[in-house]
Amino acid sequence: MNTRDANTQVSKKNDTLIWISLLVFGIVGIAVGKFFKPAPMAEAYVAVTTHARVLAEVVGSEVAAVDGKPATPATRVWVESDDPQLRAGTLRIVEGVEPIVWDERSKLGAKNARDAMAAAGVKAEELSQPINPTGLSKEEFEKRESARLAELTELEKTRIVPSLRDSLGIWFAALLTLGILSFLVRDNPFYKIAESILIGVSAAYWMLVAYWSTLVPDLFAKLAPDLVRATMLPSLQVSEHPSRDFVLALIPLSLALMLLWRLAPRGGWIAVWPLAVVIGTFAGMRLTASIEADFMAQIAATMQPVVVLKSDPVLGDVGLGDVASNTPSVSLDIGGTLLAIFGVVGVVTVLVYFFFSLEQKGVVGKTARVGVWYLMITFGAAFGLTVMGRITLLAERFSFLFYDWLGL
Amino acid sequence: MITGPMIRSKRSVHMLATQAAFVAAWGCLWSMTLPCAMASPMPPAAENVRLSDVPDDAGGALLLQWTTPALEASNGVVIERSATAKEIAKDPNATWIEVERLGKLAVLAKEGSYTLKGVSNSEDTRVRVAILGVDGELAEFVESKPARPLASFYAWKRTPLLLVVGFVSLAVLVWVALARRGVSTRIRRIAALDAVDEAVGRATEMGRAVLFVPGIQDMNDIQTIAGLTVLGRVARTAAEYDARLEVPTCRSIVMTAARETVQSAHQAVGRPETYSEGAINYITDEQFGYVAYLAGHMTREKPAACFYMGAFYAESLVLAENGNSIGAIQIAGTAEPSQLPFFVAACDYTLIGEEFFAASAYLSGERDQLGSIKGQDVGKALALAAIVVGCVCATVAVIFPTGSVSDMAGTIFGVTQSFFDGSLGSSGGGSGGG
Amino acid sequence: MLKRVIPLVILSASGLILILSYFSPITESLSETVVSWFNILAGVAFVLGAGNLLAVNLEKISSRRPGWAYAAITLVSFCVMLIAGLVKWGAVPNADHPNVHLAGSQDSTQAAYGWAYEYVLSPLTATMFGLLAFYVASAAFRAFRAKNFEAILLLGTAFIILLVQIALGAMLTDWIPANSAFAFLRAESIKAIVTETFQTAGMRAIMIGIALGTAATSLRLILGIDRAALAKD
Repeated sequence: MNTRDANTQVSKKNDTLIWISLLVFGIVGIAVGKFFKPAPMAEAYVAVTTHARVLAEVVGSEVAAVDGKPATPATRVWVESDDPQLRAGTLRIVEGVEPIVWDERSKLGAKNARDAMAAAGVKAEELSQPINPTGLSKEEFEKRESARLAELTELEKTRIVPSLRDSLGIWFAALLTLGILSFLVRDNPFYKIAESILIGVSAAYWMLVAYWSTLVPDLFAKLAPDLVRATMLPSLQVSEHPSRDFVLALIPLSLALMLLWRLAPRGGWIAVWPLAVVIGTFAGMRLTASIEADFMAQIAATMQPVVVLKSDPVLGDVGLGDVASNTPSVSLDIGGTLLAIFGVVGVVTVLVYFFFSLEQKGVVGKTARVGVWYLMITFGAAFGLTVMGRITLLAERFSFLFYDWLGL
Repeated sequence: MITGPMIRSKRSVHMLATQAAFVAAWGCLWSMTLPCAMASPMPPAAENVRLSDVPDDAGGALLLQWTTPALEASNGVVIERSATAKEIAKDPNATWIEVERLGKLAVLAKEGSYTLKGVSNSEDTRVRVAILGVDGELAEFVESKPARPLASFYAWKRTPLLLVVGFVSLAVLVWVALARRGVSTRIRRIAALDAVDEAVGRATEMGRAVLFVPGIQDMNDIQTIAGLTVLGRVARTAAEYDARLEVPTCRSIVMTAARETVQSAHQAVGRPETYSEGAINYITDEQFGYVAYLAGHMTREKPAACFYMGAFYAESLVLAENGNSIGAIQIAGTAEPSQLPFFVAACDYTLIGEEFFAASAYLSGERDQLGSIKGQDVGKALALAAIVVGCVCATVAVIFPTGSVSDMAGTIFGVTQSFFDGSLGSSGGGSGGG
Repeated sequence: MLKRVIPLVILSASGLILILSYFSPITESLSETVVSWFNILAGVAFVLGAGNLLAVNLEKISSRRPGWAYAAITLVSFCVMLIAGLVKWGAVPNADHPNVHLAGSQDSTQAAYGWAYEYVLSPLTATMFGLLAFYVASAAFRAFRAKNFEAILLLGTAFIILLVQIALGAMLTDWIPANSAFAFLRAESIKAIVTETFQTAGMRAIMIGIALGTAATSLRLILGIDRAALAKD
């Protein structure tokens, strides 16, 4: 126990030394790089596209009241304020509804943005044009914008501007990245801050993913389709069997409520029921699936001849010949045969290793030992194949720090 | 006809040459299309149009087959089906509804087929087929006899699977029964599991915590469930020794289940009062958020024993390396083949695949459970026997290409292999539907 | 009874139903339905997770336990992200329904949620992932010091595979003629032999074992032999 701790201490000291020297090396490198090629840090641009949408109705789509049936109003759609159908007269603007104007900003890489600006002959410094330049009121500005936009083509509506919030974002991301990397030296407050933020943000993130992509469309939309359509999912299809959907949605809902009952002061034991359902159903599902997809399929794949023949290259592929009678067109492929034998031996010996009933002694022990060697080669190969991928991932982080943040 | 004005234009020799080539090409093309355009008769109608049920399904599908008499004169098919009663109620004029317009691919071979989906199980459906000609003209429609999809109650193609599932289940059940009657349930030592007591004991001695990580997947993964059964055993030991057990989880439901498990364990050893919910917490669903927490937590709190039992991905190595740096005894178990190398390289003990699933039974020491492990071995014996038979027969068939021995070996090999790869049932069970 | 027997009955019944349903085309799709139910259940269960996260961190802050400031950071980032994402703060309106705010998209960095994803979550998780490069190196370094044959076999294979993957491996073995008897020592053949013969064989046996283990674990649970996970016996 003591030697174990002592060893840990020594290796930790060594590690620290290595990481500190790496960091110093990196910082010096960055400083030298900056000296030779000064560039702004955390440059970020966005392509801003202004959209103006007006509410229009389809001309002639209204149906007047006929024998007791109530009248249906015209179909309404939101369209671009310069939609050709408005000019053509197939759509007409609904009076009294204000147009909605908004900017859509999509992030551009600093290089893409610079290329685009160079193509347009603009310099980055000239880009600081605010979106609402003069002190116009919001209404006035929006009115003027929609008038202006009506005259522009789709391409002209988009303009490239430097983005402060994205620059801030890059700074933030870089500091957090460094915070995580600093853990390699030792646990420290920067890592703790990065860790705390990561836990908080990621927990909320996955809850939001579950909320917007599962609960809203699969639960709420089944329980209260009209409400969900009006507030969250306007494009929700009208179901053919609304009452069946409702009842089916009650099943997971009631299971979920039982699970939540744990929070109640009494009767928390009922939370075990949904857990029993989950464990039972997935145990049943995986039983058949694993036997079919893994057990049977792998057995079938292993069944192969352990003798491999090759046809004579001169006579060509004349089919499987007879080795025993020395048919001249076919000969034994020694390499292939050896590999085939190694393959089958591997499966058999590793399976023997997994036998629990047999003590690993004598012949069984020796066979199992060979099985362990196979396992080690298998794991080693997987290890070796993974390393490059991991280094690539790290390189990506450094490329973020150097290119996006430092602008090198 | 078009050559005149072009040749008369006198700009340059080069232009002239280009134009001449152009004209020649055009002429060529024109002469090629001419016989075709003239001789594009209506393709002959489809023959032998048959409609049948698709076997081994829940109904709702019909298989349409037809013969195309003149392949070169055909460029596709149009498939229409009769309107359903519901459609006719909506629109009384509805008779035929186009299902699909297939291109040249559908008439490359004489025998064509198409599966209609979403067909009503409760009424007859007729289908008609018309061959499309080269110029898009439509041959006359040929109608099939009416057919109705049948829902099968049993999937014949899964018979081999049923037999194997039955065999494995029976093997387990028989061994459980034998174990109850006192047949020896000795199984080989699994060092990783023998080390559990030692690891928990060491943590107790040192006054440090035991960390149990049940993987990063939810309860829908059997590995998480298996991990929790191991947790049940580890928690009993910890409760007996009065060691502090911490279970941070990556999923809300796993947290709930782990609380149930640990609470049960405390009750099982008769110490319900020592159970505290506070040691089992939800961290975050995010894989790397969870691992960032664990890495930091391990460095700060220095648990003396770390268990990693469940489904792990890339985080396995971060956990194992951090555990190593704090000098903890580490016991890992997973059935995630891609992560086994890292656990094997960095942990003190690793339960590999099947060993992990046997862990809970092994630790329980109950006769029933140990018996079920022996049942598992019967399954492995089946696998070994099948592999040996398959390989031997395949090899015999290769070495002796002719003769009765070879025929027999080839047949046995074919049947065995198709039994296990699932192709046996799907080819042989066609008539059994309904 | 309610606490002990019924959960086991529910577990067994639901397991058996799912096994049998796979063998009938009519009920085959039951597993998909169950998966979708599970997703909903997991979605609602986030209430438990969130409640636990809030409780743990609030407790840490209120009792001023060491590291309470970090608990506050977790708490604030959790709440800000959750609320911003629920109200879709700064979302880009849906072009077809710009009047329905919650129908908007919050994937771009214009929205608070998208910004947090792009500049907080994504770099943090990617860096955690990137740390693995260092851990791979240190694991290999330590395993090399291990003296048993198995560890050497594992690391040796890993090293060879790593070598042949990069240009160095090819450079070292290019002099071996491709049609000689020693052609199998060329980098590409070594990789093929190790991965296609040895690794495949090992993997197959592991998969067969895992399948049997899965099946046996499922059976133990469904038959009520292993009650460690749930029963309060």
